[in-house]
Amino acid sequence: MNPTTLAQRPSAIEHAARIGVVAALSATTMLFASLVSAYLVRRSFADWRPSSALWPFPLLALGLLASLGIEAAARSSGRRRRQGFKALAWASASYVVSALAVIASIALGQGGLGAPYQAFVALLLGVHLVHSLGATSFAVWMLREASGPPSENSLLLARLVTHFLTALLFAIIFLLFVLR
Amino acid sequence: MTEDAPRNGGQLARVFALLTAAFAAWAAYALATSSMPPLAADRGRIDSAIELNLIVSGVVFLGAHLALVLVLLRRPREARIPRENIRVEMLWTALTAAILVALLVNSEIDARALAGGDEGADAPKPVVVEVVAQQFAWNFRLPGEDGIFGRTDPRLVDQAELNFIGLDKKDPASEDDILLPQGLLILPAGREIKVRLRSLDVIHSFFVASFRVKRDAMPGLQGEFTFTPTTPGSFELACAEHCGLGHYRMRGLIEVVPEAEWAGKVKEATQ
Amino acid sequence: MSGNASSQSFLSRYVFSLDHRVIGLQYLFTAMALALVGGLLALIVRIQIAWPDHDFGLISALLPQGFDEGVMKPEFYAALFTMHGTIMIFFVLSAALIGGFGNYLIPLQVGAKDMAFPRLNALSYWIYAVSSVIMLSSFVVPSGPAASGWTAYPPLSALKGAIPGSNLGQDLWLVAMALFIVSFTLGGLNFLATILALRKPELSMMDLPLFTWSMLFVAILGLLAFPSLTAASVMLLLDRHAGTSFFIPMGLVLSGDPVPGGGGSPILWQHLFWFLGHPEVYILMLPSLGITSDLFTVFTGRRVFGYRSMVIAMALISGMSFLVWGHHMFVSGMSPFLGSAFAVTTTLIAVPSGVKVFNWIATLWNRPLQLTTPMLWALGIFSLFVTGGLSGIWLGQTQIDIQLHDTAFVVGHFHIIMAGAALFGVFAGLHYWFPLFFGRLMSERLGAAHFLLTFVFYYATFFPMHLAGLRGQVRRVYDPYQYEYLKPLQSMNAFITWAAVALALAQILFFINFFWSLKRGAPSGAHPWAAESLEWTEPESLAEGV
Repeated sequence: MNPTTLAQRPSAIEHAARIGVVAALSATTMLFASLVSAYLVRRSFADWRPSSALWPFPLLALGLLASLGIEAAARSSGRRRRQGFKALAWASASYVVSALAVIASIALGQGGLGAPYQAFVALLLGVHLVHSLGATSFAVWMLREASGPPSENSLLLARLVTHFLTALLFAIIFLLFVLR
Repeated sequence: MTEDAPRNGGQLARVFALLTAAFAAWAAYALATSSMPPLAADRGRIDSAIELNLIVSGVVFLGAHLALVLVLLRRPREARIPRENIRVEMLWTALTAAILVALLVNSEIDARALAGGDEGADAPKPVVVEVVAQQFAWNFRLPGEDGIFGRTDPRLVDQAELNFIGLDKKDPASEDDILLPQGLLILPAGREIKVRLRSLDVIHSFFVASFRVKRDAMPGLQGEFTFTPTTPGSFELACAEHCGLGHYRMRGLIEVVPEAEWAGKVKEATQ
Repeated sequence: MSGNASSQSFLSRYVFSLDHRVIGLQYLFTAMALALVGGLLALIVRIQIAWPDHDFGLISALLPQGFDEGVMKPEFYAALFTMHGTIMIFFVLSAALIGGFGNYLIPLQVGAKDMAFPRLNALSYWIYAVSSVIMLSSFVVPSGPAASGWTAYPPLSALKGAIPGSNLGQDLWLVAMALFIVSFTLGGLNFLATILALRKPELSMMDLPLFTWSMLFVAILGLLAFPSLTAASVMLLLDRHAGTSFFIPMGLVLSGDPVPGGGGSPILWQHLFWFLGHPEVYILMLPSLGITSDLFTVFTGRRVFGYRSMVIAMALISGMSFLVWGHHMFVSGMSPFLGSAFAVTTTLIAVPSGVKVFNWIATLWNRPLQLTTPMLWALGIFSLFVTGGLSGIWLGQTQIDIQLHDTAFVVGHFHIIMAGAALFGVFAGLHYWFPLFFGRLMSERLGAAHFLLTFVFYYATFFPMHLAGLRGQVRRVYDPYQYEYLKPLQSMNAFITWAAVALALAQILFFINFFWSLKRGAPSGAHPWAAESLEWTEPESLAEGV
């Protein structure tokens, strides 16, 4: 059966898409809740030695830039909208590259992933990076599939996902660098 | 199709009802006459709890299956059972809850008693035993005269030297430690035993069916629990947690002897 | 694209289809094939428990790496029960009940044309198919499949030297499980969106069949509970390959050699695993409970007693299933306070379950029943749910669990409540919806015979395990008779094994009935059961006969 037969009830499809995205974000939240509870348990052990080798602000800035990019795109049209999407794309790509660099530097650095704190930095950033990559690829695929400008509904969902991932990044950075 | 389907009261229903009744009767009989290894420690509460549960669940089990048999056998008469009756539903919800809460209270009382710990100052000191599990053997150690276990270090483990737990022989406290031969624990009857349980490699579980004792040996953690063996005899210690290819043969033996003979038997075993 | 037109249309219609009905049947047939594998593994395990020195002859020729001159190796035994549990719980029962029936029926029962996201639906099936292939492929790995149990407790599953299966086999297990979870998550969000958003506007939630309700709760449970095993799998893979020590404690000595690294906590895995593991039990139970209630409605000719409280009971069971996971760890040395808390939640989950039983009795009482094959299976589920639920109450009390934890009692308990109720649910559903799927009826005579034999031999297999457990028989042992006190249990174990063989033979009747009816069954007509739910009454939901 062709998915277009469902287009008879566009509002239902939009509703379904919203439910689907919220469900996916709930599952992601539970995934991070598991990782974070592991982190909180581990950090209460006696041999917990957080290092300060890392400077988290570039990652935060890129996350913020992604969120600002999608907001700008949502609030405008034409050339400015494209600029907003471009900012989002660049910010996401740079985030993925820099998070990868951080993980690589920890893995190749002194002690590697053997030290518990370093292992958790790599784990939390790594899982977040995979989700960002997944969300970005999905968005690119959606934009290529859809003919014409994105609908209000898909823009809303894209904003939701982007802000969710940025908020998640802030929470992770808070845990790893403030509550360490 | 559905018009000529077999009905309750018919032949198929009678066969099904007969099988159900036979199973229920057999199951109830088998459980009621089932046995556990003879109790040899002060943990009869577990046996009583099982008996209590057997009665409670036996009544529910037989009742529910009797209902099923009756539903199958009886030809239906005109009955006025509504689709919903909140009061009746509330009643059986409350009944179920009340029974379960009673069982829970009983379980909580038992759990506290079994955890033991605060018998008062005048109770005799428990016998402390260190149990170290490894793939696929049990190591037992008594602290000796000084009551202090010598230091151990995993780096000192040397199987060729029979130093399985990595005892540091330079530590003065380890001089009088008594290392029993692997797999053999000798305990005095009637004394409270405090087990300090740990594992060298993977998770094992210390299970003596006759003592009603089971506790996981978690690597990296030390567990502690107490029990009092009451009957002299020899009892098998089983590993209850899958720990590798030799899990099935990780067997230990616990000899319980009268307290007066205990020190002698231990000496005999370690020579 | 190359290839002729007819093969292309066959591929797009039956293989890479986006139609929820085809996808549902793909799930069902894949699960059926895997059930044969899982069942065979169980039989080999049972033969080994009853006669440990048995010469396996033909079987050992098929799987040479697992045997030594016809006698099974202990590490292979561990691999067998590990793979049996994993395949049956996830790849057979979850896949058949949720992937199979869920995909086929949810759109029909809510009056939608298809799932909300058909592409995602097909993707979810294919990820499941790939993950099953990965899981099965570990049988050809030289070091053998994963052998740390379906619970994969580290350090056993983390250290390569701990057991042969903890080499490549364990990696394949972890990757296959992670993929299975991805597939289940995609399916779950599709179910949720379809039930909530694509339901016919005039159809209220309180008019839905209880099966659809169960799918709604299953989807929520899967979405919220499964991610914790994804997290744990990633962490265990890192422990195994990247030098981290999330689950490996400090100072381990494995066969005399110190294990590098450490500082982690093996109990952390247990929390993460059972946070998934226990809701998974209810993921298997709820569909069967829903099917049973719906069949009682159809075959008593009256809506199930207390429909509303049935929905509430399902909601309570689902919600509470997140709060009971600790009862798997009563003897791990957890704090007594925590133990008591988990005992309370575990025991009280029996309250909504009790409500279901009472409501079922009220539904059946004094009604003319049509004892069709699906109805027989539903009555069987009633019996299993009572029997297995009661032994669950035993195990939920901490002091009893001390004695029975990790014994054959637990094996008997969960095979009756979780595996049994779910398996009977699969059979109930298959017989009931067969006319919808294929336009034909299955033979009622063969169906009744298959049910009665399965009912008898299922109990004959699994009930005596409670008795063995009470007598202290530990589970997962390759040769129980190494223990003197277990030697008298050999005849009981042999009885159980013979019953299991009979149970397996009885399933031949099912396969004969299924495939014979597929070709030769009596045409069912559009409306064989006089049921009122939408999958039967809406004209567009008639089966095309695949």
